[in-house]
Amino acid sequence: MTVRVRFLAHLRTLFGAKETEVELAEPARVADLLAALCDTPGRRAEIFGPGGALNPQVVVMKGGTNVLSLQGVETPLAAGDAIAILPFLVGG
Amino acid sequence: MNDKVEFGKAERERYRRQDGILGPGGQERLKAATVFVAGAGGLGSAVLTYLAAAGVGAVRVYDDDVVRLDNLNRQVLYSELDLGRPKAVRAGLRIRNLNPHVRIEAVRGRIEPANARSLLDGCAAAVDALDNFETRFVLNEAAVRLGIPLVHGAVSGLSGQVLTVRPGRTACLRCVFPPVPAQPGFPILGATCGVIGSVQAGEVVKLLAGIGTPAAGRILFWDGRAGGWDEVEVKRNPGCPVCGRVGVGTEGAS
Repeated sequence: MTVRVRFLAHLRTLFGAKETEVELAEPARVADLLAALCDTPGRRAEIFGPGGALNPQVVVMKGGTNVLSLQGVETPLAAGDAIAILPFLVGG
Repeated sequence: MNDKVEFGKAERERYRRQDGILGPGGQERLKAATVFVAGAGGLGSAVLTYLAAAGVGAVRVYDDDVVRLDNLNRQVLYSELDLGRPKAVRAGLRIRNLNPHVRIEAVRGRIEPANARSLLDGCAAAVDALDNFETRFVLNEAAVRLGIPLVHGAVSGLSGQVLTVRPGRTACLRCVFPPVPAQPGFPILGATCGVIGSVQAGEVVKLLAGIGTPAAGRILFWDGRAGGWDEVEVKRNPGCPVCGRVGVGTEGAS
């Protein structure tokens, strides 16, 4: 199945694209998608924190919902899902 | 309410260049409104400046901090003469000079669960110009409970985001951002605060005047490095601990 991924801000530079389509074997979870995307140490270091959890400075949205409000990296994916990956901004 | 709002000759002249933008009665609705501004830092500097210039009736500004030298790259309400002084108070003085028709309620203090609702009481809109999510969630919950629209902004480096929350109608901050560990200090360019704070002020003016389309249900994301805007759809979370049981019709008079 294919899911569509959009990167924002500096993540575009890191992943070399504004948007990409990723082919995944079914059944797939967010973790599978991120593993497929993070094919370099630099990308892994940006997306994952210590212990393999999502880096809290990165927000992964699936169809308008933060995956942390779903099942985190265990959130299942379906064909055609739209994912957005953006930095978590806190400053004011 | 609006028929009690009157403008003197100087005020009419002051707002003349906004004629036709805010719609019939829009300037009156601005003047009738009190806006709560949480934070008088980088975002707050732009928000307060443009809200006061536009002719909002009253601003209630809350900030716990004092002006420091490393604030001055972005917090353009202040000068070196303000170092060590409370931001809220100095900000109030600055915007009073900018527009003496705006009533200023400037308080140095922290926004906490115990005081948040009373701080927002009587406000037509609230602005999140804070620098941490712990306090943002307190503000968000109070705004949702009171049905007051909230305009969120956040920045880092050359990036920034804006999201307007229409309680019970569109995603609140807690729908979108689960609790996360506190973040360390952030690098920031002053111009980024100017971009995002200005968009926040525009959102408030639109809400008060009743014009345009709010940036609700979608994060407006500014990528200053590439020079462009993106939108990210954000949905309400039915299980949201803050707004999950708040439905349409609970929003305030806006």
